[in-house]
Amino acid sequence: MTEESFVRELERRADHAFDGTHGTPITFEAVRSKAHGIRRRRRTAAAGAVAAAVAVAILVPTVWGGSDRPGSEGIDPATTTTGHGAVLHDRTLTLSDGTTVPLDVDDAEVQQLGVLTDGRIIVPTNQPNRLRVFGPAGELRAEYSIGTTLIRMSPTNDAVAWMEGDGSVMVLSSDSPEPVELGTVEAQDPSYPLIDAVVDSQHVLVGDGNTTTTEVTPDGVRPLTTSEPLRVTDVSPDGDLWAVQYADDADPQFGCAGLYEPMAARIVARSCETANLTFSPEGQHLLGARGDNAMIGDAAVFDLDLGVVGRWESADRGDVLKSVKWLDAEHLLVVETNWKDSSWALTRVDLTWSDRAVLDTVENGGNPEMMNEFPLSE
Amino acid sequence: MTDRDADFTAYLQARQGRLLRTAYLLTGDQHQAEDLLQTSLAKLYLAWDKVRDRESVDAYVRRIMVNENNSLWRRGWKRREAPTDVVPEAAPFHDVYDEGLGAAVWEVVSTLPRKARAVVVLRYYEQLSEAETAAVLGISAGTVKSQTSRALAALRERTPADLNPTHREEER
Repeated sequence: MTEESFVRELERRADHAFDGTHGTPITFEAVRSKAHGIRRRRRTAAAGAVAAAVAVAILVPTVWGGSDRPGSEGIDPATTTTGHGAVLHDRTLTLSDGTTVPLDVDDAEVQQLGVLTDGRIIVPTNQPNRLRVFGPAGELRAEYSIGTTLIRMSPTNDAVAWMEGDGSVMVLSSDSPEPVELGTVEAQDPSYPLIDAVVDSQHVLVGDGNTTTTEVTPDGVRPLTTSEPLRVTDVSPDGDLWAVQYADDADPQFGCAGLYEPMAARIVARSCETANLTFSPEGQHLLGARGDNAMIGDAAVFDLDLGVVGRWESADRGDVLKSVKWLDAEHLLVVETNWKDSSWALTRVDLTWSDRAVLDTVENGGNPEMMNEFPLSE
Repeated sequence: MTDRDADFTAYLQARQGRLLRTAYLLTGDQHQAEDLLQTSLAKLYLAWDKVRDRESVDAYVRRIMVNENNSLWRRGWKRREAPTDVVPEAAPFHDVYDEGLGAAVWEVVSTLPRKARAVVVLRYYEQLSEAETAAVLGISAGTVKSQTSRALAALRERTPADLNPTHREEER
């Protein structure tokens, strides 16, 4: 047998498998539909959401930071809800101050949730696409039809934005009982508008899934001008820096990450070693995470020069992350899972990823491609 | 349809047949091949504007396919979801005229580790050079060479003596 006959065998095998009697031609519509699904999953699950940041610089003890198990002793009941570190499990939302709130939602439906500074809890779910607003005690206060099940929180957690089916940008602020329409963004086929970031309750950035293209403010809807095409993944607490993603041949599939100064219209730091950067609550560090199929394969903490402070990578033993979010300026909440044994763990790690504490576990949990056993607040 | 979509559709129609066959050789399963290709094409569609050089699209989508197929979470969950007690849709492929040589080749290819299998498929089916294969896989040309050698050595070991392949790397 020669190398040529080896080649011929492969061709014969492949031709036999698809000799015209097997397989259905893949249509453009099927590809586009799948692409839209991938885009949604990337954006909701790859830690690309806006980090809910705390305006106050004083950090308070949290239930996650002060104990090894949720609800255990050591909780400071006087702490305030910041929106950070809230975890949904078994229809109960545990806030970072230890408060538990019963929520009438199926955990498996929840891909994202947000907690406003006034205590209202925002939960988008699909089928049908809707957004539910619960009061601080868990009572359902309002329900809205939404275009995409994607929410974005402001850096100070005092506002949440979402998109209605007609492109209307809706903003619900802590100081308002009802959402207001900030503006309407026209869809540009084949893409549809998606909210990339909320600078504040009066300033929302919208994109087409690849690039942030539009600013929406009370003054109107206008094109966003940047130094190069980029997608904003987060805004610093003071609004002076934007975490961005941009196309780069160094990583043609996911692109590279950077820090962008909107006032100077320039990228001041770049890294092709991560993606989907989000700012820590005080804005001095960033969390980046890369993954696919709604899971994360590597994640890292960076300084403002995008130098690595700590990093986690899958050991290729079935271990992946489902989600990772900022808990406070010094810690992350991490949802770990292993597809080989279906185990899940909610953990807290420090910035260097060397100090790890297990907070809760689930054995025989669900498929992380489809659900999250511990949805974390944005 | 926009020019962008028309452009993509033209590529889809022209290349999906060949890409589907490559996907099959990578996965060894028709349904997984279709699923792998559709996912890879969807990712290509999302990145269509980034692929500035249209002549490099094949290489780009091959890289997506290989990475997707090697994805640890993809193979883990796809494996779990695959039913094990159903009759395959397609009849087993029997070689009736080559004294089992085709089956022997396929058995070796099927049992190779995924990354080594990707090397073999890209080198011998897609006819890529060592350098091109290395670029698609993100590994060194030396690794391509060594994995190719190992795959061919396995082929020699597992096929009947009178069917052993001749390793003619030096001719390439």
